[in-house]
Amino acid sequence: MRLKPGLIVLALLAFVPTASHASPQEASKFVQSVGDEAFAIIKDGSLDKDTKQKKLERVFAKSVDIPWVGKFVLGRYWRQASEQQRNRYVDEYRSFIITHYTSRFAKYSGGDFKITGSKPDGNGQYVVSMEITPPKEDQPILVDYRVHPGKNGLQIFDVIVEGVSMITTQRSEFNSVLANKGIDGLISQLAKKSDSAEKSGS
Amino acid sequence: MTRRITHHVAKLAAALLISASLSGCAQAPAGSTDVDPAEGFNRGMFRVHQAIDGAVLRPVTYVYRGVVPEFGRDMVDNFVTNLSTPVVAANSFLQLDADRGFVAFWRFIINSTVGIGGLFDVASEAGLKKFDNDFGLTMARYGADSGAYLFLPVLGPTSPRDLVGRVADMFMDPFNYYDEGATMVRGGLTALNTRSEKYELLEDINNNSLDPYATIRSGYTQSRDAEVRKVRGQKPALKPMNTSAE
Repeated sequence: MRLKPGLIVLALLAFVPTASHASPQEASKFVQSVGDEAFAIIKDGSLDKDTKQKKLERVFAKSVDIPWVGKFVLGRYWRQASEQQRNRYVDEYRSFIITHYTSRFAKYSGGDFKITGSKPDGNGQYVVSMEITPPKEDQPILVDYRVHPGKNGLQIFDVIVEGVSMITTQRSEFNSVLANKGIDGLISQLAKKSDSAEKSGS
Repeated sequence: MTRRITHHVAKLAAALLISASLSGCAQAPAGSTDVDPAEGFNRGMFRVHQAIDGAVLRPVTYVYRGVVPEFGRDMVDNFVTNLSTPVVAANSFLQLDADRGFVAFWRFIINSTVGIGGLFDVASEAGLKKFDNDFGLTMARYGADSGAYLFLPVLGPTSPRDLVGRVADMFMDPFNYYDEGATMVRGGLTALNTRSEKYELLEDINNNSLDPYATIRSGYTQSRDAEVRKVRGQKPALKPMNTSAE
């Protein structure tokens, strides 16, 4: 086989990292550090449930690209929304999604995780695979984190649990509400959910 | 009463026909979980299901989880799982997946004997891990599409293909030919065990989702799709996403 110099240059170029692109190792390290931080809080026996939740909320808010996810789950309705609707939605979505996810983890007090792989996924994105073993279980749960460069370094933009993508599921849920009640209906439902979550303390 | 049942059966048959005929043309845009041509029918059935679940299935499961300690529920889980293992093995062999077929085969042999009639999952500790398989996946392996999404009371989320698969699995199951009473008891235990396994997930969805019907549809469609990809030897579906734009 005759080697084509053009092809070689092309192949080399593919491996040249550009400024905004991290490496699979960095992506894996990032997810590892988020996991370490979260599990340290979960396992800290000296914290009560409310403090646990507050600390987990801070970890979630800085490691997840909430503005991007918020836009994605709105789908085509984002373009149809007015400036004022968008602002109200972004605010409500932020508090909704933070309580929604952290309240699930504040209940736990143990468990372990292990990163099993990290690979590039185009556009500077990475998929970092993890096995989480909940307390008292022997079958690990397979979780993939999709990661991309955000404003301050890498951020998570999707969590895929056993093949189920959180952002895809939430977009289906939101689009169904949007089709029936419009964006104002969705915003008020989000506000109601956040309120009841705060009152019940869960 | 009979008239109402016939009515429901007729509606179901109609929905099956509609969804089967639509499945050819209503191709989902890649990765979408919102394609639901029978949505009107499905949402009606979902309301019926939620009523039955709230009145019977959930309270019974709640009591079961409160009264029977975890090791007892584990035994029930192991027992009904073991009884379904011959069908899992058969489907794995039908999919020409001899590796998993033998895992299921040995799981059944070991757990039925050393595991005292399947009450203990000793095979798992020997490295033969539990997994699911069914005739719906066997049909998918040979190219059958799922057809339109269906939600049915008590059975939950499914599709025409997977509904056919369930019936085939019932005929394939040697224990269903044993004794009618025993089959009924087993069916009850299996239903209780399944509802109990899904307890936390369903509490979460029913309490937190803005539209539980849509959440279940999307979650089920994605997880079934992941299983189908696995038996077809395809990679997991990760949609390429341009997250830098906008």
